[in-house]
Amino acid sequence: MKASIKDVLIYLLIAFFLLSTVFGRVLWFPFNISVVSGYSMYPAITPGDVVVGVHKDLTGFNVGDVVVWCGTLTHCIIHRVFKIGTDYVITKGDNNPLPDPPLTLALVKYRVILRVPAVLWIPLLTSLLVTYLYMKRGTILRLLYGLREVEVFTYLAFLFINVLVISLVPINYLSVPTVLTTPSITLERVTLSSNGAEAVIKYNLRDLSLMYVENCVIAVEDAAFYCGAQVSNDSVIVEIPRKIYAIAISKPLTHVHFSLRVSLDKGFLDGEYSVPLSWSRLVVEPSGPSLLVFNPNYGPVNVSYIRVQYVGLDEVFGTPKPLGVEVLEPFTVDGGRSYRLLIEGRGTYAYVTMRYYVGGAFVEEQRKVEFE
Amino acid sequence: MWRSRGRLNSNELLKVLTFASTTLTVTYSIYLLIVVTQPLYVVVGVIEGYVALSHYSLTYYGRQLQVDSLHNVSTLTIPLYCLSIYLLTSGLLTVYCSVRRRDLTLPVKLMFGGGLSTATLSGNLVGLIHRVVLIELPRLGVSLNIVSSAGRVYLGSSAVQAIRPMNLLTSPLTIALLTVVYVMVSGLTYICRVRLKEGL
Repeated sequence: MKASIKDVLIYLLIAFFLLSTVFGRVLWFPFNISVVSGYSMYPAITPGDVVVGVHKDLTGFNVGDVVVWCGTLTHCIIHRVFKIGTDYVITKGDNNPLPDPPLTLALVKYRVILRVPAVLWIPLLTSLLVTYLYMKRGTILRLLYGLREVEVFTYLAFLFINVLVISLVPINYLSVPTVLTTPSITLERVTLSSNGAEAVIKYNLRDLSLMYVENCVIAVEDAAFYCGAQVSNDSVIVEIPRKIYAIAISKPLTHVHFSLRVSLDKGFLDGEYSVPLSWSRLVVEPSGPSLLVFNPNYGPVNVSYIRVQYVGLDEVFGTPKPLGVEVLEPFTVDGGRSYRLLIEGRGTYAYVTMRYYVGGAFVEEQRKVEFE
Repeated sequence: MWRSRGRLNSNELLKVLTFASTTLTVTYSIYLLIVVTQPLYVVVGVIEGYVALSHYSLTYYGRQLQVDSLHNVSTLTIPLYCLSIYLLTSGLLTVYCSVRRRDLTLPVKLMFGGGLSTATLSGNLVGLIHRVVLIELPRLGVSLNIVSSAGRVYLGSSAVQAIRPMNLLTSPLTIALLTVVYVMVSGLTYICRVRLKEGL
């Protein structure tokens, strides 16, 4: 009776062991015991550790919990829950740079509740095994004596070692590829400074650094000009020569294109960028006996025709009386600069008509200048 | 003992077989040790290093790379290491016993046991090489040249290069040939020396 109870207990133990380690991966079983391989959860869980899990139906799981999910009978993964969706969950190894692909909730089997470090269970198990083998030494010796053919014993010994090693090392059916974090660089924005003298190219960098600019060329129509450029942290600052705008404004061009080669700490980048240009009319304001002409554009604007119509007042009737017309010399206003056009004081006031070319069209402005 | 011209008698045949078996045992042991420990492939480029069955060393932009699958492969070479040491020991024991003119029954049995184990573990060897060469190594050949919104980014690539002599040593044909020859010779030696002698 005593022997049969012992046998029953042994069989139950074996069944529990098999269900909790192997068959529990595909069948419903309240507990799971797994031996960890791999460094994906390092340092929280290290290779060789034993983790004990409880079925998710009994405990549920939340973001931050460590769970066991199984794709096949031979392949289970122990990772931390990263995100839970309506019908999917995303896990991630603590030591992995990227999360795992989304899984269906059905694949998640257990929530890890206990971790037994390898330095604890291996010596414990070994000592228990050695104790058991010592207690059963008589039986073992009788068995070995039956294997006194040394060649058979050798073969069986190597077979045993082979099976032992294979069973300790997980052979993943679906091999998990090593994830390499690829450095990346993307464009955040390209902006022009307020005076148009510089273009700033800002990048988003990951695991990369900008070193210096090897080559910078600005293309305008059929012409190409070398430009100076320098690196500033995660940006490249390109100097745009003024003569570019003189060409651009006359065409007119809506964009300035430039290409550059930037040396990186791990390679180099060939980029081609363009900056939009917009052209505006001159800002003309009367200021006493003169006109203040401001050029808000980046390039120079040539006022090619200035006509002044002088007007006086009739001494008898007080009505306006034209006094004459004068055509003045053309002038050029540089980008971002102002020009004061002095009008000779003749009569009471004058109408000044200016004509210039900007943004692909001729513009005519007329202003009244008071002399008194 | 009779002797006919150009033919060996049974004792001499036994000596030849024992010599061949011993030589093959030691040779196979060294062969196994070389195949398991020496680098099979080198990787050059953004990933640099070498891969052997029992160990590997790879760096990615100067940082040490951890490849779980290669780590598992290196653990699975333990039985092969054990076999190599066993074969070397049994071969040297046979040499020792021959020199000392002692009974060679036990060394021959040991070598035959090693031969039987070799027949089984050669499958391990082929499987591990297959795993490394066909599955893991192609993953190490990468190209990091990409096109992004910043432009064309050239970050280099890596290439896997085979080490010529190792390529030959690890080919399935070489493994199969060596294993078959060794097992047959050790088996024949065992039968002639042990079984036939027992039967006489």
